[in-house]
Amino acid sequence: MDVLKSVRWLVAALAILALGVGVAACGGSSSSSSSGTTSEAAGSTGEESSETSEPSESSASDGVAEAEKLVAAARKPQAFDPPGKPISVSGLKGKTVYDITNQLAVAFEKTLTSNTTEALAKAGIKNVVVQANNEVSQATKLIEQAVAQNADAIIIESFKSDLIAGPLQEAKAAGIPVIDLFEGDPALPTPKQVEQGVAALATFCYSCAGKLMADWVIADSGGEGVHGVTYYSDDLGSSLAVNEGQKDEFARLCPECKVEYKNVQGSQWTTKIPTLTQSDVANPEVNYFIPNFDGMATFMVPAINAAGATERVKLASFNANLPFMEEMQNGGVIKSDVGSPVAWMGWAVADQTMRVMNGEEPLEDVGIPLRMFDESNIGEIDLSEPESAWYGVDFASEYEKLWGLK
Amino acid sequence: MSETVDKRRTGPQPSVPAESAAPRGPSGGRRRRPDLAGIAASYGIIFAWAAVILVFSLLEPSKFFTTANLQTILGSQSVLLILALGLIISLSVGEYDLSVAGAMSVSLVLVGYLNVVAGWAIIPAILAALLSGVLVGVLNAALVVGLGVQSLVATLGTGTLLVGLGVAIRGETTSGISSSLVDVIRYRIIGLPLSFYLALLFTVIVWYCVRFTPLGRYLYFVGANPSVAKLSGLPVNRIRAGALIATSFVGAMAGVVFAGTLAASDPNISASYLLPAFAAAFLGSTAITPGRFNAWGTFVAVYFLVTGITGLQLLGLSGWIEDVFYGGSLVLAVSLSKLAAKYQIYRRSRITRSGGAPG
Repeated sequence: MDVLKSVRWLVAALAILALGVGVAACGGSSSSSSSGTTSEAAGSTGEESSETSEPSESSASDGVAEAEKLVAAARKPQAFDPPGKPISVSGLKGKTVYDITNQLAVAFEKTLTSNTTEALAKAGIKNVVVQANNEVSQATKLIEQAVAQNADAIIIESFKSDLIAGPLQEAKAAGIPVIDLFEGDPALPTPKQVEQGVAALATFCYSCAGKLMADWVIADSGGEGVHGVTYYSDDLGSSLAVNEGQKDEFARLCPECKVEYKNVQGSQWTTKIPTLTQSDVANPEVNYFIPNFDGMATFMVPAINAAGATERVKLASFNANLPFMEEMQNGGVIKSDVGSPVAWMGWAVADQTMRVMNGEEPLEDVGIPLRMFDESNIGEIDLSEPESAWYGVDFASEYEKLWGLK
Repeated sequence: MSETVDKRRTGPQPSVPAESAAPRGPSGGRRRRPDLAGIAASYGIIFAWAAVILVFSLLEPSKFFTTANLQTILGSQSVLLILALGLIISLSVGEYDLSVAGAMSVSLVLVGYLNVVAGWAIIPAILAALLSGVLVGVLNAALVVGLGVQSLVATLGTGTLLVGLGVAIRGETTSGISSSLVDVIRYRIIGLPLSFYLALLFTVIVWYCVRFTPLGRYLYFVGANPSVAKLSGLPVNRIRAGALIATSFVGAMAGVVFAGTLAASDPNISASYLLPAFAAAFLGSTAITPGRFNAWGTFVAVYFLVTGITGLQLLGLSGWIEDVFYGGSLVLAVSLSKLAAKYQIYRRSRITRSGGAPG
């Protein structure tokens, strides 16, 4: 009897909770994307394109030819193209910048911030690097701390400005410019961001990376029989931009290529990606994995190996982090990686920051090119060299010239 | 429903036994030396806090020992403090509540969703968010007290469920929460946001209720030994259920304060509060009233930790050293409290032996 009563109570409580949530969900937004693994059937570019036009045979081969051309250009060492006019940094000596990063234990963050620090030091600026551990509360406190310490500029990475609007306002009121990193594709801050207190953005062209990943798959496959699976994270603005570029490029150059897009939020990579890969690799038609970031491949490669599918599937990704470059050089399942030069970006962040500190207009695009690495050029890269050497540009000297220091 | 009570204590225990660690009055008319171990156990963390302040003030006087830095330190921890205070209510009765961050998440998302997307006025949106906390607490109580599922397991499940529900209600960042809430929460008095004073007031309320009301005492009785508490005539299961509901409700309150602090909502940002809240509760149980989860101990623990972290950051020592300080402080405080408690037991046993022996 007692147990029955308990169960009744429990069921009633659950029903109330479910009802409450149901009401909320029914009136919910159209974008009720769930966490975890949302397969976007409608997001498949094949389906999207089938609504528009049937590609002719010649247009398909044109698409492949163009993809091959774009990939070939991206394989070459990149050149330094000054992102803006020269600036004088002599008046900035002795100033202090607060650099709010996420996790210094992550190689990307460490390389980025240490290069920004090195670059700012050339102009006599002190860079105080602090980490927010991906926590909004920490980021909030650190911005307030920077304001309290009378910093001359604040660099903040990967936090949506909406979530830190309060402290950003404080920085704005104190006249401290904020440089926001990696919110999406290169752009000037939106009027809303300017109002919130964001003075400038600095970011990679993520949609360009997505385009290049699609180009590589199209070129590699000759545009035939592609059944790809892409993992992305809808909580990361950069990931959405990669996806957008990739979808556009497949639609433009290979409408018949079939690609499934599956969402795995940033915090769930470790738990969700391995199981998702297991089920996806079990589909014998899948022949390309195109995860948005090569960091995702850490959790994918073991499942692909375990399924004995290394001959059938190829993995193409983005970021060119060292472990994945090594995997590619050793002939592993990773066949291409679009490189985003992180050390170079560290200097570009410093450049953008000093422009804003000088009271100049921010750059719309800090102008960091991407480089395609695959079997054709990975042999030329000495992976024992620092990442800054892989792109074939002495960007540090170029920036120093731009700043009048050389 | 039968009042079944576990015979064995399997719930969370403060890091030091309350009876052994609590300072005692003079016994048997014998003159006692000052109970230094007792003082160290009760106020050790405050001394450590003072030492941290002193060291960083000497190392970075122009940056650390400033009003602006004091305001940053005090003003930035309100949400964590409220959440940790909520947690000590269920911890006191011997129940873990791992869903408290989930309750905060749902409350935060509901305020954003109802106020911004559904167009509700801010007061009804806040009330709905608080109600969600009560419902979460009722669900936890039904599982833990009603069905007898271990609280660690039950709330691990409901916590994950709530994180998912938060995303389902509104998966994206929602900005534009009513300025009526935002302006109030951010309103500054002597340079500190109102959220700090709310957290301070809540500390006083929890301290008063636990210290001076019968219900507060019952919490500890139930936590210390539910079987004895039941035999003493206490409605043990109602108290356990009430404590779980109170914790979730306070979690929802923290969500409302968070909404006001951020002026936005997001379903993915509350989870990071869970472990710091537990760390503060356990570290707090080594101070002021050692051996008991207590409000002022928790208050001191939260601010001790953030003071140390801020000092390290101002010295330019960011990265791994922050985690070492955070984790190391917890381990060290708990270990020292344990040692102090053991020393007290040893000392008392010597006093008892020498007092009982023929002169």
